[in-house]
Amino acid sequence: MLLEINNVDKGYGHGRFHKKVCVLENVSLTLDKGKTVGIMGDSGKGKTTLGLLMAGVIRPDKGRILLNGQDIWAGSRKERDKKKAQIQMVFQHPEAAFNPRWTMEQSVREPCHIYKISLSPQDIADKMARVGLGTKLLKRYPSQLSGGELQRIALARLLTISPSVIVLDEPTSMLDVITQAKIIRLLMEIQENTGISFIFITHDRELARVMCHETHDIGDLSLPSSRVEIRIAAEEQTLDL
Amino acid sequence: MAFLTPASVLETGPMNKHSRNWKEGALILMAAALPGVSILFFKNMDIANALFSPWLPPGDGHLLGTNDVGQDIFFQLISAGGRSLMVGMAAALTATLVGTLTGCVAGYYRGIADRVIMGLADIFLLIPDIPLVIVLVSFFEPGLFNVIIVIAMTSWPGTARVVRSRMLKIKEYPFVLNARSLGAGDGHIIFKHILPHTGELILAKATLAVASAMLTETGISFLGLGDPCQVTWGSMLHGVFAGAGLINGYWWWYLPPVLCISVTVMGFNLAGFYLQKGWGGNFPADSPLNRQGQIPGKTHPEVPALTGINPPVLINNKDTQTLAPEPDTLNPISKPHNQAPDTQPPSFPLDRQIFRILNLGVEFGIECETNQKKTIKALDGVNLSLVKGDRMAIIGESGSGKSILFLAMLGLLPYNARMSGEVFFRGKRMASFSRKHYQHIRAWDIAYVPQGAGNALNPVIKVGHQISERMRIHGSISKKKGMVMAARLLGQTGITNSHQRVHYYPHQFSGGMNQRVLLAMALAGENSVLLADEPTKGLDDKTKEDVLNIFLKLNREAVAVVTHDLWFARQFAKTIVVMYKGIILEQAPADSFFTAPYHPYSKALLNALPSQGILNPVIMSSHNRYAETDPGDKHGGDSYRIDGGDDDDDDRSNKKNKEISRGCPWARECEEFHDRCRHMPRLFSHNIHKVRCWCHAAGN
Repeated sequence: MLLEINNVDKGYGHGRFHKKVCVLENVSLTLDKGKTVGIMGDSGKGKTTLGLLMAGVIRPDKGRILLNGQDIWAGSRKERDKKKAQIQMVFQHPEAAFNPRWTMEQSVREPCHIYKISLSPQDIADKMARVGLGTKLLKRYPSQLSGGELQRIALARLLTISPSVIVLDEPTSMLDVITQAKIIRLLMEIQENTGISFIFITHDRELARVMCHETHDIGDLSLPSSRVEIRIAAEEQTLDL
Repeated sequence: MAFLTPASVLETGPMNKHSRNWKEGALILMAAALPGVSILFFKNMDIANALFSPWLPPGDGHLLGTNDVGQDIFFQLISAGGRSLMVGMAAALTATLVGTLTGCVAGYYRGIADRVIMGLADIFLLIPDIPLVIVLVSFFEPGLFNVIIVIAMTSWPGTARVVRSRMLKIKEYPFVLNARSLGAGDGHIIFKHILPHTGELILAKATLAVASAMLTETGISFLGLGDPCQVTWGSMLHGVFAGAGLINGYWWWYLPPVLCISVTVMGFNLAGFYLQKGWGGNFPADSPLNRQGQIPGKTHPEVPALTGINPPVLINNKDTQTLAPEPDTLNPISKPHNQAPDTQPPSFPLDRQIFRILNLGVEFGIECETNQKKTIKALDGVNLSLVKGDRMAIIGESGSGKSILFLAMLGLLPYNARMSGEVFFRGKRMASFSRKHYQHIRAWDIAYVPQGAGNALNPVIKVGHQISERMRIHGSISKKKGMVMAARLLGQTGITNSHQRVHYYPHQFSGGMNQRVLLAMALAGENSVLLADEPTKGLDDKTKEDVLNIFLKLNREAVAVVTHDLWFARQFAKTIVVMYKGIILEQAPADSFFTAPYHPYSKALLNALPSQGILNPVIMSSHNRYAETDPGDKHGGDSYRIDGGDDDDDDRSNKKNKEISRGCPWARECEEFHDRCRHMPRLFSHNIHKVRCWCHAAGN
């Protein structure tokens, strides 16, 4: 068991004026090495929140997220960083995922800069080659590249710190069909070569079928109590009609 | 997504776009600081304190005369200027540092820190500046250092607020979230990601702060609250006032400092204005996220000229020159596949053809941030005819011009679109139609299902009224009757309990149901032609099937659907039209298209479907072709923009890209790329299968 999520709760909104809204309640999920787990569901149901939780960006209100049996939020800062580096994330909007004032090279170097790992130009060229791009693009700015290229570079950037899990939050939903196919194929190649695990968040059932070893519906994973009530009410309504 | 709306800030890229404003600002700044920094040109300023005879007018050894104690005013002016500028800059620097720091903390961490800091800032902003400064200065001892501190104390809140609001904005951008997901700490995010985006704002603000600090300092010194031993421009004026220079008319005594202060303050203000305009103020609107479908800067192939034979495409590369077929003999360059409108009058059976589109081109003029006008070609040389009994599906990616085609057919193009070519409707030129005629056609002949269930319906009108709107406007039936009719139509589209639901508002329906409401609206007039723009977008599999069934049952003269849902196209259509970048690449009967597409793009499109085997390695290599094989073309590919070439290599590939962009639009990514693809092929016909590809030129 590489990544394990145990009974995690997450809600948003706090303070005097906001009522807390539970987005995820009692979610459990496991991910094995070299596997892809798909998370399906409509928008607004907390797919991205689950992704952020798994990538260690936000902290769960309740429950634990275990990487190789260790809680990713436990331990000293240094230990936490070590675990966090193992789980990385790719986002939906490739154009927005890069600092517009940085060249691609600066962006690719960023993770290594954060975790204080040295990175030679040869390493960068290797990673870029692995995602099918030349090093020439490194001199450019995000606005000068296409969505497909940016998403590839986003992957190359993560590969520089060789994570064991990558959370893919609708990585192809902003791309056209053909680029999507290329990226999906690239992801599967990377998985084959490195044994990396993916959490694949998508709303495209067909895509999930191709890409994932198993898929879960976010609605089945998480049933906040308020939503249960709504669901019952909705069922009653349909019975009426 | 919520964090995408203010995307305009994201696109700044390299700074060269606004270098003119920036340069102007810097120039003015230098000019403004000149009176102040001129102290640096004089080695020995003791002369400023030397005494001569008092009240000497200008000239005669003293450039600007002397004052009441006999000091040379010119040298006094220069030494005072240095001090004034120093005070202004030091105060502005302190205020900016404090303001930036507090603004960062408040904006990034929010919560209690935000409330305390912003509360303090508000208090400082509430109290009038000058009285506060006077009180504070008289409380401390007079002296330049105290003046600096006091001015800084009163001017930090402005910077703090600006930095905080920018911080709040940029903090929400996806790239910051991305950095956090990489594991970056707060320090890294603030200093590497967010602060650089506030840099120019802070600089502009600081420049303005220098001006206001100098003015405040002048005021304080003029009131005699400055350090009496250290003369500034303000205390020079104080001297004039105390020494009765004004009454005696010693203009050479008071005019120079007044002028110096005015020019310097004005200059700093102007420089701040330019810096703000050039960098910080408004960001260019042309952000990658603002682009809608069309990609500015991506060159489209030339529109084939309307008349006769097109000029041959010029080729820069000598190697390919020989390969270029002779234009006169072969006439290979894109040309309307049948006839040009002015050489041959449209002669086609009027009874069968409903729409006849001849060489249609649509261009959009877009004004970009540098005030240059760009044109984007949304459609280019489109020839198409919709005949009776046809069910046509126009497929292509977003930005391929499918929706624009429909709008052109309806005469509903946006105001900034320029149309060329002709659209014939039932044998008549649509361009000659009057407004009334158009309205009549839209009411009774062509029905249109717009895209986007989310915002195509009026949220404050009941769906039943919206469905019957067409009949109520043109058929003048009552509201009540309209509702009954709407219920029937809604029931036809597969919504159960439609009698009750016609009284719902759009927000009470799900996206799929709204989509069906739009369809019911289009069905209301029993119009003979139906144009539907993405009728299955955002629907789940079950609803898609329902919509498909409605479409299959439709009894209309002709139905055309724009879609990128290939499944729907396959089930529904008799004719398939493939569009790419505003050009028709292939037109074929559905059966032959789906069994054996001709165009490489169509093949790629079909193979890209997840259900169709995304893994097919023959057609779908994961690596971009140009990345490995062709070194000169390395960064062409699907790049949006080719920047202005920083070395020879770039120049060469730019040229190449431009060449390719004149040719087949798919050439850059085509697996079967050949040199002749640098020219636009025409639409070759193989019986009824038409394809715009050189590979299929032989059979023609």
